[in-house]
Amino acid sequence: MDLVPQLLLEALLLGGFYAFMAIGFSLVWGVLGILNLAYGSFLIVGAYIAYILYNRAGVDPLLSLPFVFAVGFTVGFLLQKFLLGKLSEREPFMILIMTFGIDMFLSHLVNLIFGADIRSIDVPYAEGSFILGNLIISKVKLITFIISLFLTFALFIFLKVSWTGRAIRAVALDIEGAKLVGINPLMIFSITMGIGTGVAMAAGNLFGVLQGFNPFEGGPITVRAFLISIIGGLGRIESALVGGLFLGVLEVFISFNLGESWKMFASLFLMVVILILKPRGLFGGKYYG
Amino acid sequence: MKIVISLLLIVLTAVANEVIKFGAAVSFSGKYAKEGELLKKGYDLWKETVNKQGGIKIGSKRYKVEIVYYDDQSDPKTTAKLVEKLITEDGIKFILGPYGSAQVFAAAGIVEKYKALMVQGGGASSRIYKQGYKHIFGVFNTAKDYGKNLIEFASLLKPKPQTVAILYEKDIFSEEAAQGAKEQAKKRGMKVVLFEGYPRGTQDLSSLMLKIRIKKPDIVIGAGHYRDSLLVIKQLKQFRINPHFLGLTVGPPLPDFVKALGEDAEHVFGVVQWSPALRYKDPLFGNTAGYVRAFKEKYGEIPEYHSAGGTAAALVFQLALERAGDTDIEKVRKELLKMKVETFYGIISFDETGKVTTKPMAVIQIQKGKPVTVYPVREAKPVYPKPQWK
Repeated sequence: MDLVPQLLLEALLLGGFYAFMAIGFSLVWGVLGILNLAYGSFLIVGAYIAYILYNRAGVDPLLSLPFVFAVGFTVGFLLQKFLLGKLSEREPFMILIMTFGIDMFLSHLVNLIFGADIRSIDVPYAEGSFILGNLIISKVKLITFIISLFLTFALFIFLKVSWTGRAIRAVALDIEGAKLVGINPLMIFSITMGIGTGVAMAAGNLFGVLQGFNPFEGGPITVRAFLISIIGGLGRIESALVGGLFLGVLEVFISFNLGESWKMFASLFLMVVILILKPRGLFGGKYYG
Repeated sequence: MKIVISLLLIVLTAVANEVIKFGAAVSFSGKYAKEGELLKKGYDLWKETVNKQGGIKIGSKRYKVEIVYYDDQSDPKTTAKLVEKLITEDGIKFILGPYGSAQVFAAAGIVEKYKALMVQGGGASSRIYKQGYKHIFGVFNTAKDYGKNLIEFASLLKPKPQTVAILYEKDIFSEEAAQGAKEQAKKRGMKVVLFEGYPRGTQDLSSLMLKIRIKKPDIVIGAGHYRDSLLVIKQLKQFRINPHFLGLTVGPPLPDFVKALGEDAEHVFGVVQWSPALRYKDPLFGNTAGYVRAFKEKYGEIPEYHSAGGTAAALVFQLALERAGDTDIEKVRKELLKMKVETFYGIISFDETGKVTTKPMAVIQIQKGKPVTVYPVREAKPVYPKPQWK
């Protein structure tokens, strides 16, 4: 039995989710120039919100997506407007430290409330799998993949067509020019941070359905988001797709051929190599233009 | 006469007000929260039973038992810190062990450093006993026996399974358990077609599952802890892998295992340090059945081996203290080394490293939602080969 098609399928399903997961990170990085180290922890917070909604109120985790996104948007928006934005006026480097602090704050807050137990959102319809010839497709992976692709596409359209989306791209390209045509960059910054955090939390919602999580899972996720942004470059949404798929393929094949333990090592090694050889990313330029 | 008795009673109650403190850092949150809670139940039942009988009799005095607990959050570093706090800040010399090999290992180093004394029923790694420590005693069979017993039992089934896949979490307990399974499989003439570990905390085993899927082994052994066992079963089912024999080191005997998995838990084999089906005499509870009764009365459920290990460790501590007639660490330690005693838990004696040497293990299978002992005592006929996932 040839396993390569099966592995490619796994990589595709994983990569699709990774792409969506990383968009918030790369958008904020590209537009605001902020490396949001708290990104993974925001994602985990999203997972816990979906977890409570499902276990306490019986809200289906797929229905809670818009709500979790809205919460993330509000948090991100306020965070940028009242904290990070104020900081950037004085010392931009402090923002990096601040996001690191937020990361620690969030993960420990979640630990305080929920304890360090591994939780999972187990929806009955996501269990099991389909068989397609020689291929076996896990339902839960397929569901998260399709939703991820849909949301990625929705973001793409938003950035391309809507006034706000175009304003975001304008600010990323040329902040002075954007001001000249009447765009308020501070407002755009807040909105972008809102979208970034919203995407993080919504991705967390999906992540919780996909696999188990605990309060301290955020670190490795931030690293993955960083990696995807580096590989794909900060250019466009398409770049995140490329980066996500690339990382998906890498993780699946490494873990199959060398063992699960090599996954993180290989990813980080690749990141170092790319940073040395092509610091602007393998594919794509620097901005959301 | 009456006066004498009442005087005696007064003296007795006055004396019984003296307190002996034990300390334990156990996981109440985190990965091992389930097992930690069970361990605490075992300790608490012992405490209550002893106190009901007037306390521990050391020399001429009777001491009420108190246990100081801290939550180590399933993190060995925290265990070490908390055990140090118990010994140095709370002034407690008698430590009841934490749950988990890594946690016990961390605690052992601290206990040895301060020359306190620990009896533990929560860590099964043989590494604990290879450090030359003199103040650590354990009532668990070591990790290798987990894998060994599962395979040994499987090899007696008809038709005899031929191929084995072993996957394990990379921590000291699970690696050894997997090693034990591998050695036993080779000894029994079976072929090990897969032997692979994954890092702690991994929540997706897809690539491992794909490998198992092409190898189609008769036996799958999963060496890990409770969470790993849930994950292994979920993903085996997801990838439609149907081994004839599915054995897991930790999980199947826990009540929550069946609660969490429902139908899917059915016919999974597990291995236990102890089973309520065993028949032994006991100095505190009368016999194994007496222990089970006392446990059921207090908690409304049948005890399983994590709780029993806790009770056994504490009980052994008590017996050594009583025999020493003194709370001096060195004297109690000597009694532990000399000890050979029958308890509800099995016959307990230790070798010079502090490891229990005279206690057997048992294999269980989930049948109709309940763990039943199938080896070496046979409560029910084992179901084999395991039916396919529904």
